[in-house]
Amino acid sequence: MSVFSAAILFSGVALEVCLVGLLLWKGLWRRYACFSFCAAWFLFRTLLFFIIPPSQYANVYWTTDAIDVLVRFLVIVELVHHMFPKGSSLTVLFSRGLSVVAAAMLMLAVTTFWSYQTYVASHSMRAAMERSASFTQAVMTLGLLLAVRYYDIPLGQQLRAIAFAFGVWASIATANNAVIDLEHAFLPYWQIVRPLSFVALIGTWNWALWRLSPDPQVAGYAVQMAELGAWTEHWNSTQSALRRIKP
Amino acid sequence: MIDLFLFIAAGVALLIAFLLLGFQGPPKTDADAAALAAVGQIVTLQGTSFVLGDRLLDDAEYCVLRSNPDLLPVATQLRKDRRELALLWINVLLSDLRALWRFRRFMIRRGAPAHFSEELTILRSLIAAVIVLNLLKLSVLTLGPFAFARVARHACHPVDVMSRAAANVLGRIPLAGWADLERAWTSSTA
Repeated sequence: MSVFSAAILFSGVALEVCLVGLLLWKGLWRRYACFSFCAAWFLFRTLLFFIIPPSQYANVYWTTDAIDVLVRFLVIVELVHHMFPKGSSLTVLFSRGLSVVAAAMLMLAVTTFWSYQTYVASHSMRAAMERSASFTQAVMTLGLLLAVRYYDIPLGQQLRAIAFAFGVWASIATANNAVIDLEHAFLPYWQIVRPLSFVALIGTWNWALWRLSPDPQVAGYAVQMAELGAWTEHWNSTQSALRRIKP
Repeated sequence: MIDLFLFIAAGVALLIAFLLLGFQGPPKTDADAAALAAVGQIVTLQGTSFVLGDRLLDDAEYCVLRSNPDLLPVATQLRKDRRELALLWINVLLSDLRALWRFRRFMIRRGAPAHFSEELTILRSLIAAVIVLNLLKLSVLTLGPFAFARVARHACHPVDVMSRAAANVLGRIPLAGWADLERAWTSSTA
């Protein structure tokens, strides 16, 4: 292992320990349960590599990598959980639409990974899986951040920074895993991008949890069903009036 | 191969989108609607209350008139009238801007809290708005009212920005003090 690789590895481990420590010390694990699970998983996975015998390394690496791809979706779940708290008007508005969009994005990820083209073009299945999942995660995060901006949802600085860092990292991972498959000549250089960007991601998350103010609770204005019903009725009558007027 | 290129392009595009969104920062807290309405009531804004700005700078009627050779003199007269009206409107917008700026300074003088960086930003937008409106005036004078119609349609925007800036400061003053403030402002401008 080169000095540079060792520096990336140990700084990554140190930052992961700091992240989990911060979540526990500040009691943020209660507020960001899904995100905390994700952070704990990252640390557990890294520590696992120090424990297992070298002969098992490859097997454990690929198995945990597949789990890792799925665990990363928890960051998006955390964002959704804070953006659309139970009973808020936005949750009522998007309850069905959000599920459809999420399902469509997951199907896109599976399709891009599973397509025949992927098997023909890919040098590495791991890279194919990574880029499909990272692309989906980046698009979902961007969609959520755009919704935050559009509806002026008070997301809080911490979660905003977490989401931005994750989105940037997922975008880099998408492009990087495609470049790796495209041309193997620069593989040693491209391979550094992922761990480096991951260390930067964990570093940013540490900074966000350490420096920024915690997520303000979204003012939970519970929409009464009667109120919503009245609104729908008015909307329908406006629509029918419009239809009548329209030549 | 194509899907790899697509993924690279998508990754780069997403990265740029995240960076752009990140550099924009969190959405700015908008002025309280009540404060905004109060500003409109205290400082009489004549330029922004003129809702037919779009029609004034729209050249559709002028083009229709010009297409008929018999109506050319009418078209010329319309253009001249529109030019005068547009100049009048821009002048009113400029006076609105100055009034809002004076009102903001008046509130700060009377103890409304404000930040230095905020003041610098407001001053910068005021200078930019005055320059843009004067350039617009010049273009209306020299090239006519329909030359930069699309730009001119957004002429109200700087006044809206200043109005929101004033409303932000007014929002920091307790509601009970607004009536006193209005009286003091009216007497100071009389």
